[in-house]
Amino acid sequence: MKNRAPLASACKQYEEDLVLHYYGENGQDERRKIENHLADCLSCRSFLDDLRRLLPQITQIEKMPQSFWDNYYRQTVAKLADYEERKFSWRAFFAPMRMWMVPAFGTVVAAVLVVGLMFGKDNIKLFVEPRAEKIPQEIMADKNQLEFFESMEIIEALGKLEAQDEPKTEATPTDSTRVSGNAQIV
Amino acid sequence: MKKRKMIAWVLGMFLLLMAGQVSAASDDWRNLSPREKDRVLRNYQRWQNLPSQDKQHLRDEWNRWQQLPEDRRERLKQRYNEQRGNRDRDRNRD
Repeated sequence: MKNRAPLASACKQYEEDLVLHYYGENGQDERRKIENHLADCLSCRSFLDDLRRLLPQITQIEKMPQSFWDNYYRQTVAKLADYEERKFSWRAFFAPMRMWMVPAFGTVVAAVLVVGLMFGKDNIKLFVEPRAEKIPQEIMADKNQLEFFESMEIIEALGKLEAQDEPKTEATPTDSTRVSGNAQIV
Repeated sequence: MKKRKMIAWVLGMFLLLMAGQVSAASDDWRNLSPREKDRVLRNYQRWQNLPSQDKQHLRDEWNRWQQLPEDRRERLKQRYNEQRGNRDRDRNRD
C-alpha cells in the first residue's frame, strides 16, 4: 500500500484518452494526436507512467494457496449445514418417529373422525354426562332399529289396521293379533 | 407391506361405515321430540320384556311392514294416529 503513490494529474481533456491509449483502444489518429501531446506535456507523460505502474497491480489476481480454498470449502459447508439445521430444526424432533408416524397419524385421524361422528355436537353432551340421558345401545345400533322402536306400536297393531283398511275384503287374521296384549293399540 | 396397507384400508373403511351408521341413528334420535324419545324408550323396555316368540313375531311383522308400499304404510299410519287421537280424547273426557 505504501508504494502506491497517487496518480499524477494530467490535462483534463486528455485523461480519458490517455487511459484508452494505455490499453491501445484508441484509433490511429487519436494515437498520433496523444503522442504529439505527450512529447510536449510532462504532466500527461507522468500520468501515463503512473498508469503503467498502477494498473497492472490492480488487475493482478492474487493467487490463493490450496489450504485457503480447502478451508473456504469447509466453512461454507459448515455454514450451510448450520443454516439447514436452524431452518428445519423441527424435523429433527420428528426424525426418530418417522417410521411409525405416518400410520400412527392416520390411525389417530381415523379415531378422531369416528369419535366425532359417533358423538356429534349434541351427543358429546351425552358422552360427558351419560346420566343425563341414557340411550340403550340396541336402539342406537343403527337407523333401522330406531325406526323399529319408534313405530313398534303400529307394527303390533298392523294386522288390525290392515283389516280395518280393507273392510270389504274378508280380513284374514294375521299373526299380529296373537301378540299377547301388546298387539292392541296401546 | 402391500398386504398391511390393504388391511389398514379395509379396517378404516369398516370403521367409517360403522361410524356412518351410528351417526345416522344418533342424528335421527336428536331430531325426535321429547315425547317421541319417551315413546321409543318405553317401547324398548316393553320389547325387552316380551317373550321370545312375540319378539320373533314382531320382527316378522316389521319385515312385512317394510315391504308394504309407501302409500299403504302412510295410510295405515294415518289410521293408527286417528285411532290414538280418538282414544286420547275419550280418556280426557273420562
